[in-house]
Amino acid sequence: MVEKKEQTREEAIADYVAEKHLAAKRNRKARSIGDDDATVTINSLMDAMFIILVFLLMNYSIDPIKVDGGEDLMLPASITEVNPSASPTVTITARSIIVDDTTVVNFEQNNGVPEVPVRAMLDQKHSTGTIVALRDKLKNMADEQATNAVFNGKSDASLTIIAHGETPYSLLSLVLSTASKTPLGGNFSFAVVKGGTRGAEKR
Amino acid sequence: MARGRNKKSVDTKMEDINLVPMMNMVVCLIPVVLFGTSLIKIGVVDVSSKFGNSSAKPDDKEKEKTLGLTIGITEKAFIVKSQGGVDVSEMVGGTPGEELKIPKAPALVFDGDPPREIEVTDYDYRLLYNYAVKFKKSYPKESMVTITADPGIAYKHVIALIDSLRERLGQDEYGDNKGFRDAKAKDDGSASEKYLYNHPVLGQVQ
Repeated sequence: MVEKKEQTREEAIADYVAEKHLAAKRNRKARSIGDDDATVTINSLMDAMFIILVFLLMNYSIDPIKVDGGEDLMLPASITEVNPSASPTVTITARSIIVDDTTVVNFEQNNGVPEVPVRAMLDQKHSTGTIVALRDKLKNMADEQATNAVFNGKSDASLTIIAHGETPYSLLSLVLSTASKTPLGGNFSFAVVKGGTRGAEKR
Repeated sequence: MARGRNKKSVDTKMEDINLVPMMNMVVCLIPVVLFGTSLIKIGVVDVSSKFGNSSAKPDDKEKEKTLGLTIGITEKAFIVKSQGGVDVSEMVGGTPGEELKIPKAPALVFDGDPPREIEVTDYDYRLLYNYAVKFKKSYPKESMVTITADPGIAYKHVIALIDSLRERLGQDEYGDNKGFRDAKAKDDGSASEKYLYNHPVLGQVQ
């Protein structure tokens, strides 16, 4: 008591501050986790992962048409809202014609314009002729469809054309002409990219 | 005789849920879903063709009464014709008996990064729409248009042409490309009021 009385005001304040500082240090030490108890906080990572998963699930494609886009196969854009249905597909890229994942004809390039080689044609008509390999393949598919139709009762004689936007009309016409000579050539659906604009565009 | 209560202490401390197995599952699911995700939405445009024995061919009796709209795409213009012998040029105020041509025209479009307005020369889809509405008013029951093209015309122009003629828009006539591009389709009325020529038929090369 005597000692305390003898303390000056400044000394008392210094003691008080030192005591508080020490207490704060003790508190911090008590709160801190030892090295053995340390855990990784994965909650935020979980949140991010979950959001990504939900986003991907929302965009999950159950489209019957799979398009492996690239420089050789850039579909034209359209304002259509019609969704594709399951049907046989003919893909016309800048280099070849593919029927359900099988290449049937490889084009020859004539000054950068793709053309069906003459040896692949039944006749020499380049817009109304017949591509033999394509016709045979489509006929086989039509036969398979007819067989399946007996069992499942579904008969859809339409063909989906997945064509590169720069395909010349003569080549498209040749493919349609060939397909028309098979039971699948009644109606055609052209695959396009949704979200296009109407009218003039930088094409 | 104070009875000392023998209280068992209850552990109220919550254990953290072990999220690691859940994380593993999510990480495995993401590549699977990513593989099947298509960020590009694919649609289809339905057409008929005049190749082979198509049912789209109008019979001779019907041919006389109808317009039978036919549009040819050349390198420089659209050429509008009638299979039924109607003078389409006169119908849109042109010289009677003359071939109706809609030449390519300059138009402002958005392009680049960031998008800005640039001038391009493309087919005049706006004017073709304006004419198509006039034809539709005179022949409201017709919905078929035959499209032909020069051999070298890119297929994307055929799709753009089909898009321009499919629906009837808010106005019957558009003076500028921006208004035509941004216009909404009519969503009420009968089929002939909602659609213009929504049954495209592809014809042989010109």
